[in-house]
Order: sequence, then C-alpha cells, then structure tokens
Amino acid sequence: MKRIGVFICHCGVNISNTVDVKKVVEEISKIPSVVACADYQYMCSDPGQDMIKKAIKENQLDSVVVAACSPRMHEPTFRATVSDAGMNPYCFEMSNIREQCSWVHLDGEKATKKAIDLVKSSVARASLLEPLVSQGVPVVPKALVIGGGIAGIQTSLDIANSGYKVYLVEKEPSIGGHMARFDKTFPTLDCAACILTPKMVDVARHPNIELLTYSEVESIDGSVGNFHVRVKKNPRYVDMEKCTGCGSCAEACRLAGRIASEFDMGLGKRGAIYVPFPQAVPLRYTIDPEKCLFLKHGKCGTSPKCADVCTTDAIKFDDKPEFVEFDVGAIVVATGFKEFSAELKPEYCYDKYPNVMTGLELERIFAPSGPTGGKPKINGKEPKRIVFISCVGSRDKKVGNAYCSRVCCMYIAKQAHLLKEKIPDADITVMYTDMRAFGKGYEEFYERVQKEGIKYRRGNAAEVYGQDGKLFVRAEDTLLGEPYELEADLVVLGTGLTPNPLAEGIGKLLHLSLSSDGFFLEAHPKLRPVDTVIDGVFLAGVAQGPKDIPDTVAQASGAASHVVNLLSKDEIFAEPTIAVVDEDACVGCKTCMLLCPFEAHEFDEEKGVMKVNAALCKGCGSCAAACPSGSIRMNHFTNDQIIAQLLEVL
Amino acid sequence: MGKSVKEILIDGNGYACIQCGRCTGSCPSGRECSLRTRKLIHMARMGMDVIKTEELWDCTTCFTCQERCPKEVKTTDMIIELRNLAVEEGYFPTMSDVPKIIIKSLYDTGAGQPLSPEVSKIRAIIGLKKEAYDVSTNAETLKKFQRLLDGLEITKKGGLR
Amino acid sequence: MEEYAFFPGCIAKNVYPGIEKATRIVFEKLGIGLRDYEYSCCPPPGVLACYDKPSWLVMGARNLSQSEKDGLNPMTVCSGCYGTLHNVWYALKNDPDLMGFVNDHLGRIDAEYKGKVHPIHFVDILKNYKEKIAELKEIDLGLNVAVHYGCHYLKPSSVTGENSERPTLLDELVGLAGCKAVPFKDGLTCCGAGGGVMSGEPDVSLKIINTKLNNMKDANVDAIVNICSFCHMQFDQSQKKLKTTEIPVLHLNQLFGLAFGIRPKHLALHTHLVSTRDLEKKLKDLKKGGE
Ligand SMILES: Cc1cc2nc3c(=O)[nH]c(=O)nc-3n(C[C@H](O)[C@H](O)[C@H](O)COP(=O)(O)OP(=O)(O)OC[C@H]3O[C@@H](n4cnc5c(N)ncnc54)[C@H](O)[C@@H]3O)c2cc1C
Ligand code: SF4
Ligand code: SF4
Repeated sequence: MKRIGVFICHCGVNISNTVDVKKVVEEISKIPSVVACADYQYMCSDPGQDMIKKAIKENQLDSVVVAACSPRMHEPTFRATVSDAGMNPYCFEMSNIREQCSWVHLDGEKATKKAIDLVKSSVARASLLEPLVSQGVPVVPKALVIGGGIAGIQTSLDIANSGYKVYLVEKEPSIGGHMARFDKTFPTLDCAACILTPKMVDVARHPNIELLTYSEVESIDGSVGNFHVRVKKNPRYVDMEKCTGCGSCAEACRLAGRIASEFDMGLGKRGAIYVPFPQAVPLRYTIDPEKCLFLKHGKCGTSPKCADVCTTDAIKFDDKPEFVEFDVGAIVVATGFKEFSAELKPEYCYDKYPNVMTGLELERIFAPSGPTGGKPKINGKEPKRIVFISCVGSRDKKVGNAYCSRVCCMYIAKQAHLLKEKIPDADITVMYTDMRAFGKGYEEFYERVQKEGIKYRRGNAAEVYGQDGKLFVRAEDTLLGEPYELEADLVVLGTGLTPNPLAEGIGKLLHLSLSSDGFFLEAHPKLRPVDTVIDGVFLAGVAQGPKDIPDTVAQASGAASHVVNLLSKDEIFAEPTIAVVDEDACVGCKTCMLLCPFEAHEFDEEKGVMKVNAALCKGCGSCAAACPSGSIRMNHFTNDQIIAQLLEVL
Repeated sequence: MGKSVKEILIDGNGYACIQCGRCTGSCPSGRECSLRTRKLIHMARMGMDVIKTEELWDCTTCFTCQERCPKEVKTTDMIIELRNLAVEEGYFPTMSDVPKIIIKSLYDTGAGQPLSPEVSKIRAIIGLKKEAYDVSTNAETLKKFQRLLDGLEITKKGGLR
Repeated sequence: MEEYAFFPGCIAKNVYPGIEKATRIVFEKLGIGLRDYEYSCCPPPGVLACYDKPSWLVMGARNLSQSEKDGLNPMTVCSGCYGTLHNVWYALKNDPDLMGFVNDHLGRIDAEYKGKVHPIHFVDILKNYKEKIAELKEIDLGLNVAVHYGCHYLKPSSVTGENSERPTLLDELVGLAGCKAVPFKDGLTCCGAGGGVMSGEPDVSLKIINTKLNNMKDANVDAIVNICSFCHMQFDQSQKKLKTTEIPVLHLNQLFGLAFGIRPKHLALHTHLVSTRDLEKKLKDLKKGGE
C-alpha cells in the first residue's frame, strides 16, 4: 500500500469560513493509506510548504495531496515543493476545495461533506499515481517574429540585442505597420516618424536580425525549441542587391501617379513601381505585378521606362518567388490589426460622401509625406466645420465588435487638436459615447484639447446625411436630452481596431485560439498576457487585442523577455503528461490522427502503428477518448486513475 | 400575466444600454416632440415611473432606434411591452377613447376600420363586391370570432366586458 | 399557377378600395392567383399590440391559420398587416410555449395554427416578376416619384432580413413603370401614422408627416408611391388636413395598374382626397402622344 500525506488549506478564511477543516482532517485521517494528515492557514506559504517537505521525509511518503485552491493557481508551486523533498512531482495531486466548494456553497455542513468527498477522491487517485520523467529537448537559439509593426520591431530589437538571431517576416514591402502612417502620436504629440524611423533603421542594420519583407510564412512544423519555418519571399521584380533606392524608376513609370496608394488609404497615388513611403525600410523599390504593364501585357510602350532609367540595372522582370527555410526555438506573433471597415455602418454614409473619412485616412492628410503634403485639405478646401464620431465599429454588437478599441477616444483628441492647430477658426465637435482617457497623461490631454476650443458633446451620432451638396450629422446631446443636427464640411469616423484577416493563416499554422473578440487569445488574461497556450509561441501588440503604442511596446518587450528566457536554456523539458500508444494493441486505424488538434500523431508505416510526437502532444486526450481499440494511454490521466477518482465521489 | 419593468428590461436587453443616444438621434418622432428614447431606457433602469410618461405613446414603432442601437437593445419592442404594462396598470394615453372605438369596431365587424356606406358604393362602382369577403361575411364565423375575443384580455381592456 | 391567400387588410377593403382593386388586376395580369379567406383585421400593431400583446398574437395567429389547410401563404398589401402577421409568425416560430398558448385559445373555436404558412409582402412577390411587368407595361408613365418604403417592410432587419439603411427594390420597381425614384431628404423615415400615434397623438403624427411631405415637395415629385395602405391613408388624409402640399398618392399596385393601361377611375384614383387630376391629365397626354 502507498503511503499518502494529505494537507488541507484554510486559505485564510476563504475555505475555513464555509468548510469545517478540522472535520475534513478527522475523516481523511481514517483512510488507511493516509499516514499523515494536517491542516494549515496558508499551505502555499513558506511554513506551509516546509510542513509538507518535513512530512514527506519523516513519513517516507509516496504521494502527496494538497486540498486547497485550483491547480491552475498552485499546482506548479506544490510540485516544486515535493520535488525539493525528493519526491517525483507527478506523485503530487491537488484537490480543489475552494473554487469548487467553499466559494460556491453557502451551507457549511453540506460543503464540508462535499470537501471530504473531493479529498477522498484525490486520495484514491493519488494512490495510483506514477512517477513520470520529462524529456529534455535542445533549443534552437533563434526566434521568428511575424509582423513588422511597432510591436514586431520592438520585439525583434530586444531579442536581437540579447544576442539571439531573429528572422523578422513582414508581408508588406516595408516594415513600420500602422504607426508609420501617423504624423503625431498622442498624448505627447511626438512626431511618429522621429521615434519610429530610427528603430526601423536599427532593425535593418542589426547584425542579429534577418529582415524578410514582402514575405509570407508558408508553413511551421515542430514545437517549442525546434520549430521549422518555411517563408516565401514574393518577387519584387527589382534586384534588392542592386537597387539603391534612388527612385528614378518611380518617376519614369508610365503609370506614375495613377494607382491608388494603399499606404495612403487610397487618397494618394503611386506608380506601378513604388516604395510605400519615403522612409521605407528597406528602401528598395517594388513592382506591383497586378498593375505593371510589362508584367501584365508583356509590353510597356516601346520599352519599360523603369528599366531604361535604372542606372544599376536592378529591374528584374523574370524575378521568381524565393523560399527560405530555417529553424527557430520561439515565435512571436505581432500581426497587428485592420481598421474597421466603415462601410459596415451605412448610416454614416462613408461610401457615399468623400468628406466622410476614417481616422486612418485623416492621419495621412496630416502626414507631410501624405497626399496633401500635410495640409488639412479635403477636396482641395480647408474644412471649417468638423465633426468627429466616436466608437465607429467599437462597442457595437450589431457589427460583431462588442469590445472597446481603446485608442479611438485619444486619437480623436489628437486629431481634433491637430486640426485646430492648422485651422484655428475651425469649429470642431466630438460626438462621443463615453470618454476613455485612461493612460498616463491622457486625461490631461483631454482637458487641454477642450481648452483649445474643441467641443465635446456627449451622445453619439445617429446618422449622417447629405442634402443639396451639404453634409449633416444628427445626434442627441444626452446631457441636454435634446436631439440636434450639425452641418459639417468634414466628418471623421473614429473607426476602431479589428482582428487582422491577414493573420488568420498564421493562427491556423500555429493552432492559436481566438478570444471572443477575434484577436489571438493569451494564455491568461492577467498573469500570462504575452504567452499563448502553445508553448514557445508569444503575442505582441494589437494582434492580442486593441492597445495604444505605449502598451504595444511594453507588451512587445515582455514577449521578447519570454523569448530570451526560453532561448537561453540549452534544453527545455516538455510535460510528460502526454498520450502514449501501446504498439501491440494499435490496429493502425488512424482515428487519432484525424482528431489531434496539434498534429502530434505520426504513422509508423513499417510497423503499421501510430506514434505520438512527445514534443507536439499537449495531452488534451482527444485521441485517447476516441481510440476504438483503447490503445492510447494518457500519462497521468490513465483510465484507472480517473475511475478510482470517480468512484469516490459517486 | 404581463411582464414587470425588470423583465421587460432583461428580455429587451435593456441592461446593455450605454446611453449613447443613437436611438433618440434616429427617432423621427423625437424630432417633433419630447420623446427621448434613450431616456425611457434610463428611467426604466433607474426604477422611475416610465409607464406613467406620456412620451411612451409618441413612438410610431418605426424601429429605427432598434435598428441603429449598437448594443442590440430592443428599444421598440420594449416600448410596446412598457405600453402593455402601462395599460395593465391603468395609465392610458391622452386619447384613450380612440383605441376603445377601434376595439369595439373590431369586435362588431372584424375590422378595425369599418366599411362606410359611401365606400361600399365606390366598391360597387369600381367592380368590387359591395362588401369584401371576410370574417363578417358569414354570421357563423363572426360569432366564432367574437367567442375568441371574449376569452381575450383585450375586450376587457377595451371596456367591452 | 403561383397562388397566394389574399390578405387585403381593413384600409384596402374599407377605406381605399382602389388598392384592393389594383392588386386584383395587377396580379391577374401577372398570372398569380389570389384566394380570399374569412380574415379579420390583422389586428393593428399600434393599438392591439401595445394594449394587450397576447390578444394581438392570438388574433394574428387566427388569420395566419386560415389558409394553412390549403398551404397558401397570406400576401399583404399593407406593411402594417405585414408587420403584425410577420412578427406574430416570427414570435411563434421561435417559441413553442407561445405557440401552445395561442393554440389553447384557437382551440376554443376549433382552429389551430401550426406555423406552416408564413406571411409575405406583395413586393417580395413582384420582385420575381420584373420581366413580366416590363412586358405588360403599356405606358411609360415618365413620372418623378417619391418612393416611400415605410417601416415595417424593412424593420426590424433582424426579423425581416432586409437592408434597412440602403434598400433599392422600390427604386427598381417604379423604374419598370417608367418612373424615376427621386431622392429626397430623410427618404426612409416613418410616415408618422404607426404605433397608434395617428389616432392617439394626432399632433405629433401630423408634424412628422408634414416634415416628410415638405421634403418630398422640395424634391419636386409628381407623386408619392407607397407599398402600404396605412401609409397611403396617412399621406392622403394628412395633406387634406395640413393643406401645405398637394402631391398625389399612389399605392404601387395602382401605379402598375396605370402602367398596364387600366383607367384611373377603375383604380378609384378619383376617390383619393388629394386630387390626381393633374397626374391623370399628364398620363392622358402621354397616351395620346404614344398612339
Ligand atoms: C487612426 C489611428 C490613430 C492612432 N494613433 C495613435 C497614437 O497617436 N498613439 C498611440 O499610442 N496609438 C495610436 N494608434 C494605435 C496604434 O496604431 C497601435 O497601437 C499600433 O499600430 C500597434 O502596432 P502593432 O505592431 O501591434 O500593429 P500594426 O501596426 O498593425 O503592425 C502589424 C504589422 O504586421 C504585418 N502583418 C500582418 N499580418 C502579417 C502576416 N500574416 N505576415 C507578415 N506580416 C504581417 C502588417 O503588415 C503590419 O506591418 C492609432 C490607431 C489608429 C487606427
Ligand atoms: S442606442 Fe441603444 S445603447 Fe444607445 S442609448 Fe439607445 S438603447 Fe441605449
Ligand atoms: S421606434 Fe419609436 S422610439 Fe424608436 S425611433 Fe421609431 S418612433 Fe422613435
């Protein structure tokens, strides 16, 4: 018979207020295999842990049960405790008598009875637990960062500065993401380019960073410590080595100034050969194969003008996609967001009137390199009456976005300020639902813009309509309780941040879960905000949920420190609580292979049986439950263990 | 039988309201009178006497507010429910006799808008039957219809019972 | 032959019989069958649903049950009726308890509604007959019209499935009669009659329709085209009361009747309170020009 020790925690009064802990000790002590049983105020405290260690040694315990809070909270703590005392950590069992008992019941007597049953069932399981040993896997000391916005840039620099190699993959021709589109940033009104461009240049120059722009991740195999990555570099039709970024080609292009620029939200124009913006990194030109006359029709006038003018002979019409493969130990997903599609709120007539604009479009109007050279002109005229509408596509279940986008209140304040600065006699009204100025210096900024004369009227806009060439916005001033309407020369929609559809594929490749808002789900909303449930995969920036630049940068550095932490180990130990196939019983039906969400099953053609890749298996148990021949055993959750546990509570 | 204000709020998603005022701003009636849709929701949530307000009866049930609400608050549905409660509690709108006339006509003829002799003549002139074929054509059917109404609350509320 | 149960509703029967007549003619020409049933008032969403919702449900369900044995879906020419019947159908479809409650009452008069037939708005039938309508057209009416979509055909979109902010169907349909739908301010707002406001709060109701009529007038339209007898009544009667505008009011079926060459009198246009004489004259000239 196994020798088991049981320790019951009061959790201050969290448990003992409802559950009669002494009574539990009394009953559990009666179980023959329980050779030590005690209770304590805080089992997780140092004295509590010492108590367990001492008991293990004194009573030569085989297994330990702690009845306290959720294993999510303290299982790692107590596993370490028993390990310290020389016991295999998998011989530890936790019984949750807080969340599953004292917190959810009022009747003390019944709760005590339930607690006794719960602990008994844990004891039953503990007597069948077996020691398990984790297998070590060597770690490839390199990282992959997907997405080159401010999040990806910051993460890459932090990891690279710690001495590890980083592959930074960006889909667009340049890194920079959304921030590169802004002129100024709230609340300090820093010039975005002044703070971003140096970082972009650092990325390009860093000896530890390999920048793969205009590229896409094609596949990712393997697991934490050992991911194998394949990246497709899209053809730029310009030789990256030869191009000096002089721009003669773009000037010469027959289509120069005739194609809507994506970077300028379609407000500005570019040619078929272009850089998205003057400070692009890398400053190398790209030919748009969808537009280029030569690539589409095999003919561009008498000869392609770009090639004619290029002095370094960099134009390469026969360019082909290239594939690069490499191994990394960790991955950071920093794929950012997409601005809410304003046409999904037809009542604001974004698609009907050119002077109804989104926030991102207005950012380009402010930018010195933007379509108006930084002059606040809409259709060639300075707007005098301007209305901002907040929460467009945020806090809006009708369009499926229940969440607050967290940046719009503040970017509206910033934009209102910038407009007022450029057009001092402008009459600017912000129609808002609630004002959210939560960050450092934000409330002060909100006050400042009101002093500058921006009118804040509570109550969001109901609709925008055009009449006789004029534009009107209707709303209720909810503080006055009066409906009103304003004429406007410019209506700016405070469009929110939505999950980036470009990141969907990445999510699938990495088996990442999404939270209900559609952004990538972190491992724990409070305590593990940069981890995902997939070991070795981390999140940074808006990919995880709406946030401003300060929060993005903080999270990016957090993700980098987790990556560095991981890469600094020679070996990592995977949880041994995984599926194991009994080769003698397996009939090779492959049912498990279809079910496994982590693609951990590999078929051994020679033996005709299935194998589980220990590094990939997360121990979810889907395969074991489905295996028709019952040949899959879940380590630490064997049928015997589970049944013994169940029998005690039935 | 009827729902309480709280039940109406729960069923109508009223607790999701963020008082953004898009409903009032959309309301064609509120532009012409003192109806403030958002305020009705606020009053209901604050436990104020929303069912006594006359504005409750200014809504044309056009559903524009419900359509525009970003929080899926069923504003119009709730106004209809609140009116039911108001009637149950004895708070009738300003012209309470008009609905009574309609209900009586409905009971007597099956039509809320009864046929006048003049229109009957017009019907004949344009080649329609003098009286349309409906629930009142067959005396037996009309009696059955009235029996159905006898068992419904509306005849009591309309002062027929 | 495609066939429907014809639910004319009180207004089209008893106040504006021209709408009933126009509907019968247009549908006959299109080869769509209409069968009559022993219907009562829908009952009105404003007065009944707001006073006693359970009674409204039971009476609505009685109407729906009429054609169930023949498997014919009831067709309405009034969005008020449509609103009632459609909302009753929708509520019962999604709530077996409510269906049970309703059938307990219907059981008292040996009736039952199983939810097998559902109401349909006549424009949803016409939209499948665009080619046939174009074929049947004898006169290009050439009118500039204000189309009034009204509320309950479009909203709530969660129930109707319509695009309530940017509908286009009526603009297309009047086009088939050679008319142009002229945009006007607040084109989609309510006529102000519903919800018992026309009878209960007539001042408010008149203010709403007055604003609407003035917006239509500013757009210089020859006529108002509606798809709802109740809106039709509001447009016609309120102009008489307000005396600020005089825009002829046509139900869409009356418009198609005219385009199909039916004489205005047979559509009872002369019984409208707002004179349609100028309009008729215009059409006569057109006909002459065409011949
Ligand atoms: C109008 C507007 C104004 C704003 N103003 C401010 C401000 O003044 N101050 C402030 O603090 N915040 C502001 N913000 C918020 C700010 O934009 C974000 O906090 C910041 O951009 C987040 O950076 P990110 O790197 O997470 O995402 P992004 O900037 O979106 O970068 C993501 C990058 O990943 C790339 N990518 C996506 N998918 C893939 C893929 N599958 N493979 C490879 N690459 C991929 C994208 O191309 C992009 O370069 C504003 C937001 C808006 C909409
Ligand atoms: S629109 Fe909806 S959320 Fe906004 S105030 Fe009205 S009911 Fe509340
Ligand atoms: S449904 Fe009523 S409250 Fe809502 S917008 Fe229409 S009239 Fe106003």
